[in-house]
Amino acid sequence: MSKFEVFRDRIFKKNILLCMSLGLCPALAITTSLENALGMSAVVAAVTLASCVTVAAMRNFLNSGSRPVSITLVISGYACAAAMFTHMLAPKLYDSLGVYLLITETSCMIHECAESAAEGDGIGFAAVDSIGAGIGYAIALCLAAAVREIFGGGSIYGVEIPILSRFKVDFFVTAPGALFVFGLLCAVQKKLALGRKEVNANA
Amino acid sequence: MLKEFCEAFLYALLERNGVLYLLLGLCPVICAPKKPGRAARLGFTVGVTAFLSAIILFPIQRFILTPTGFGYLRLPVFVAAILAISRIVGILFKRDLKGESGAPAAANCAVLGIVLICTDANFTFLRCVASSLGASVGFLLATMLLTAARMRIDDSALPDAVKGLPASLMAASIVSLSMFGFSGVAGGIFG
Repeated sequence: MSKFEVFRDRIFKKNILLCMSLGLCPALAITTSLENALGMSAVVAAVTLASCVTVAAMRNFLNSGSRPVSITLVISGYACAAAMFTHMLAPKLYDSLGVYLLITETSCMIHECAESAAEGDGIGFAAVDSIGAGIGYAIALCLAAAVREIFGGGSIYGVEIPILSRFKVDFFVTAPGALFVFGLLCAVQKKLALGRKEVNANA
Repeated sequence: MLKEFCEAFLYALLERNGVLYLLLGLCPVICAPKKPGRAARLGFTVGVTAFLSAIILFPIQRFILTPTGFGYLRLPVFVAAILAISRIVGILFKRDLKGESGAPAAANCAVLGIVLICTDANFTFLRCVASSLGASVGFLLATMLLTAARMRIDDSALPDAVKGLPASLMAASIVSLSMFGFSGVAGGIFG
């Protein structure tokens, strides 16, 4: 598999959030606005890239016993640093993300990428893989956040939409709304993937 | 004192349920268990780990990290401690807690989330114990509810695109919505 194929698969076919349902917990909770989603995606992508490159660099020193613990500690170090940077550079974002910013550490998505980096073919592949995963995560997160902000808050990126702002549906900004929107997005992604498979089968 | 305990317990169990309201630890709950027995074991192990971690880490945070100015190192310290505690719980109950991708229990958002929430705010120790106990029982409750919902979904005829994860998420959405019916219960009973 070439680097480009790895990258493309991470964005669509194996989208980490919609197909593999990894890293759902922080993603669902913070997608109430597009601004939060963009900030969160940037933090998660940066932590993923940094941890994957680190894990790939030290993969020869890890055995199966020490690997999970080492990966967890590497990620927690980077997540802690990311939280401190966010606190310094964007205090407003830090406040609105709250405890979920720290919980990126436990995001199964970063663990999955780091695990594959530890088994993978070197730093280059790990970097491409994690950038792809980060972009795929950001796309899914921003889609969900846009849907929730448009229908739940009547605005997009803080700008009010004339008619919709009078008919806000509170359901979309609550926890059940998050689950429902992600369910719909997963179904749409699956439908597109299935459709493509049928076309390939007929051809 | 009992009133404060019960109020905090019910608040964490029903009103701010870790899985269904705060959306912590969804990945293992939605992906992993397909049988009630496995779900109960998962919920129990995570609950015990979260409860023990919260009551052990509360004094560490309050009396060691904050006074010495190392509060910013909270996350790595918590993660390392949770790793150790989850290993001990795994040995005690002869069950190694694994996430979907083989990540250890510290990778479980529920454990870290419950610990962070119970130790972060200006809680007393009693309130921390009550909240973490409530949140742990709440995790078990949510796991059982979602597994039951999932068993019904697996038996029903659905379009191909909705089968599996999308249907589980939508079912979880309805279960979560039903938990909103409990809002105000804790304050209402003891207020």
